[in-house]
Amino acid sequence: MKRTSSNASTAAHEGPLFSASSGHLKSRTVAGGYARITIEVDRLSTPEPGQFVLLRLREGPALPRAFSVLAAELGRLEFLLKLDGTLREALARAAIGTEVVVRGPYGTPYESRIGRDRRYVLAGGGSGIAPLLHFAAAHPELTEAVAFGVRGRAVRDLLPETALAVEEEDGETATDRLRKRWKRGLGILACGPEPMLRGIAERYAGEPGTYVSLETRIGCGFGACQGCSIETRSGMLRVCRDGPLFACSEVPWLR
Amino acid sequence: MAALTVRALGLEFRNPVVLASGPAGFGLELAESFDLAKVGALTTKTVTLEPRSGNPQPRLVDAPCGVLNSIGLQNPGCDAFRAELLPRIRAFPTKRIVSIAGRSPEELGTLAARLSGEPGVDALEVNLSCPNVRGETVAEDPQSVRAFVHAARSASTVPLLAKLPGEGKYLDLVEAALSAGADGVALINALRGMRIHTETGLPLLDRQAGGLCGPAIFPIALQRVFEARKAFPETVIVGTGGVSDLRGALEMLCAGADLIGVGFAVMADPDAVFRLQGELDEWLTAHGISNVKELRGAAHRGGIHVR
Ligand SMILES: Cc1cc2nc3c(=O)[nH]c(=O)nc-3n(C[C@H](O)[C@H](O)[C@H](O)COP(=O)(O)OP(=O)(O)OC[C@H]3O[C@@H](n4cnc5c(N)ncnc54)[C@H](O)[C@@H]3O)c2cc1C
Ligand SMILES: Cc1cc2nc3c(=O)[nH]c(=O)nc-3n(C[C@H](O)[C@H](O)[C@H](O)COP(=O)(O)O)c2cc1C
Repeated sequence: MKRTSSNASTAAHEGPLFSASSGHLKSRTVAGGYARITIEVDRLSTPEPGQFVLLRLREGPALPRAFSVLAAELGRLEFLLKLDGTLREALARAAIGTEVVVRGPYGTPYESRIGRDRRYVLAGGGSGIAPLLHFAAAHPELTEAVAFGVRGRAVRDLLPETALAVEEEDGETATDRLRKRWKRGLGILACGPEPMLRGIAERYAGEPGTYVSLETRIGCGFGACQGCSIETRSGMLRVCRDGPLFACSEVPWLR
Repeated sequence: MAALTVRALGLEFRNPVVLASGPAGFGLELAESFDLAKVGALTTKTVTLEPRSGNPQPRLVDAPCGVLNSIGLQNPGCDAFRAELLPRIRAFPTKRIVSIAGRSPEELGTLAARLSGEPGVDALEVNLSCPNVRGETVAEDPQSVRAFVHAARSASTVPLLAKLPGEGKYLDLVEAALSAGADGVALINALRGMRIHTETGLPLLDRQAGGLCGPAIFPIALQRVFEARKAFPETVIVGTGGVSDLRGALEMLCAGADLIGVGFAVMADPDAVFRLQGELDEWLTAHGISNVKELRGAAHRGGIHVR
């Protein structure tokens, strides 16, 4: 095993602003088991695609939860939540204006983890499409195509700015779409449920430029507690700080 | 301004707030964003003789008002700790308590000898209560507690704390640790608990049980500290378990803690932890109390102000 604090951690974003800020739930739309929410928050550096923040409600779970950012501008963050779990369901019920404590941004931006020498197909499933939409908007020069697997038509109503193809209509999963759009020379950025990532790893892990965005329960968020650490070829690495994006070949257990 | 300094273990702590072992890691990440001079001490993640990669995922499972952790003592091992981490920790503007654990008294003795006397190691804390490593929850009987503490004591010259569980006959364990030469105790470690996956009917944690920490365990920890103080009026107690705010810190002091260990809150709300000393100062001043010492064990002697 290599040491816990791996060199991978010294990549791009050292010294983030940790302090929690008090934000407010500004707007929300709910459809098809998902919610899109906007939180207004000052005093927070604007997250880059792939970074996440920790959210907490005063009356919610004691441990804050990690959420990728769907879109960000100064003072305003958007998220796509799958409505399955304590905090997400609470956020779906909370009155507009409710205080939300925001901490972050954490994690290494996708862009500083990947090679800029190729273009990528963005493969996403469920709420995993959120960071990929953020990435696609910020980096059209690196985005070849998207391959999103979203089941229900209703979810499209949450993302009117995207021409989201849904499984319910054409029967295609993220992996099906990826298979059509990927060709040798392109990279892959994948974020979604573990079975989807496993499927992608099985087929594309050997291809250069294949990356997976991983999810484990996040503890501190800033790399100290080792709660989110996973086994990799370079030893134990922290999803919250060394990741969440990892080269697919770094995580052999995914296959 | 009230006096917050605590003299204990032959050391001077700037204030009674101690970062408990684990959630703060080795303090390096916290130091990027927070002023470590605002806490009395940092306790490092537990260091073992050899590197350990810890337990598989999931390592954290949600629980009402807290979390179950099953990290499994992931750490880089004594040599890497000494060579790479300690030189950086040494520079922190706070006291450094280095947490250690061993598979046997001999191994613990070796570890203690290698670390004792290193500059930057202000005290050692023997972790005798990790709920997350197989066969190493040694603190279940007083005899083994005595053997481990004795080994660490004989091998080191720095002040020694024993980190004990809050389960079972914990007062016997405190007695055993003190009689074997510990200068004080950290009470309590996380309490064993579990969750079951409702779709599979199987335990959510690979090792079934994990260590419950956070506000969920506060009243339990408080009562254990209270009992330990009653039984051992003079010993140093680092009251640990579920403290997340000023009120919890005040209660811990009144129960008899000299120092207050804070673990889960470092993960959940680090800002609150680094605000504690300021809030404590304000509260004491507002209550006309000039020295934090006056709160220590107040619950045992008729309450605050009654001396
Ligand atoms: C970097 C990162 C980015 C993320 N981004 C997003 C995002 O953009 N959108 C999003 O929706 N999520 C995202 N997540 C996931 C999210 O952080 C977690 O799912 C988090 O736990 C949600 O909190 P919750 O309180 O809503 O759910 P929790 O209450 O924590 O529950 C989490 C899941 O566990 C299940 N569960 C809980 N208890 C049990 C039990 N006893 N038995 C069986 N199942 C159980 C719940 O049904 C749920 O599916 C991200 C995670 C990471 C690490
Ligand atoms: C993520 C995590 C890791 C921990 N690691 C250690 C450890 O390495 N050694 C140790 O003695 N205690 C460890 N603990 C226990 C804490 O130091 C503390 O005793 C316990 O969590 C109760 O306090 P709290 O409720 O403030 O967290 C850990 C706790 C957590 C949450």
